[in-house]
Amino acid sequence: MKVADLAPQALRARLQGAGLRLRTGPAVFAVRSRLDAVADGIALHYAEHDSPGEDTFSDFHVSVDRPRGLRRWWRPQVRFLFDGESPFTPLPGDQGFPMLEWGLNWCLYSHLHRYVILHAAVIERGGRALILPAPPGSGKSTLAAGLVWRGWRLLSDELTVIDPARGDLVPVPRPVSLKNASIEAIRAFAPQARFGPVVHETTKGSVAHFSPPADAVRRATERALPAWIVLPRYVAGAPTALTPLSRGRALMALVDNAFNYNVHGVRGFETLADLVERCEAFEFSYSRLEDATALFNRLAASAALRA
Amino acid sequence: MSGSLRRYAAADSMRWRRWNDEMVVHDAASCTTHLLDGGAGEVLVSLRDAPHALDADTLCRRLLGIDAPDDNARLMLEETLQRLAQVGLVVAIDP
Repeated sequence: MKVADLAPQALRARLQGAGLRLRTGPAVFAVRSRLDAVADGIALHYAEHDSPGEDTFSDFHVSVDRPRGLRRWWRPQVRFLFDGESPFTPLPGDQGFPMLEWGLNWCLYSHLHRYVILHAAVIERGGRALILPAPPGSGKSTLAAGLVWRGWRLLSDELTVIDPARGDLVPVPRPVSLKNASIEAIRAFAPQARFGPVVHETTKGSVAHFSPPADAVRRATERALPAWIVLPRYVAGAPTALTPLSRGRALMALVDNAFNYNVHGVRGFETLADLVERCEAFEFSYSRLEDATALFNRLAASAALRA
Repeated sequence: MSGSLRRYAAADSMRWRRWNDEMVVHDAASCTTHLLDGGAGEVLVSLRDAPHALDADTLCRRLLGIDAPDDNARLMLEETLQRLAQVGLVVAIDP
């Protein structure tokens, strides 16, 4: 059953009962919440996701709710719980849905150690995946979002999940998080994108999510082979420039952006080194999203011709 | 110089990949990963391939293929060995 198949009251009943089962890529979450913002956010952004029955095994049991006591009423807060424990500081009361998203990311990269997981957006075209590892503020989510609306399939805007046994990439298509000026940039670039409300004054500034394209969710079990590693950097006014990056520096960039590299030890090194050897690597600076997406579409077309 | 008496050995727990003039080394003991230039990579590989620890003079002769390396070459090698030792990829053994 898809989330969209649940009537609003049935969705809320599951969220307030044993937990709504939500399959996102390789994991099933049991999500509980009494917050309207969380129910509305899930209804909007996870409409196409599979919601298996309550007897389905869940990898993670999470909830987002108001704490007990005065904080329920006075400067209300929300808190994220994982197996009944709160790994984060509570946030202001209107940040329920962003907190759920950050919490789900945390569950995946902190616990899903059968995979090597990078802090990187990843998208695919023609069976070839483009990995965009970069720190926050580099423009990686904006670039990935732009490409998603110009023919690329979203695997994830935050987590590149690598299967060490196979060397391929596991999709985790979920809502795409944009910050500050990127929100309006993507609204203008892709009017068809379905945005939720903008939440202001988070630790990351203003944040809004848009729903993953339905095709990306439908193809969530379809893995992709890595083809390109690109370190993106948004520079206001800069021309679009794609510069080759050495394999050594590409590997160090992957190591620097890996969440659980140390957990894997030598296997983590071999996995990332193998990935680098499969890929072309570049540094990329841009300011105009239309130019950037055109360049990557030419890159993908060129690879398809060579194949 | 004191460095000529000190001997050096590569750490036991290394894995690496070499591409052109770069080498990325993973030290499993410390779970650290380092990007080395081609020269440092050559030094590390020579130490790893040697059956026993080498002093700097012997290593310098092996790397350069000459009997009497000049002071400048020896100094550059000493600096490279110290850098590798600082990050734990090389073990310095005092006499």
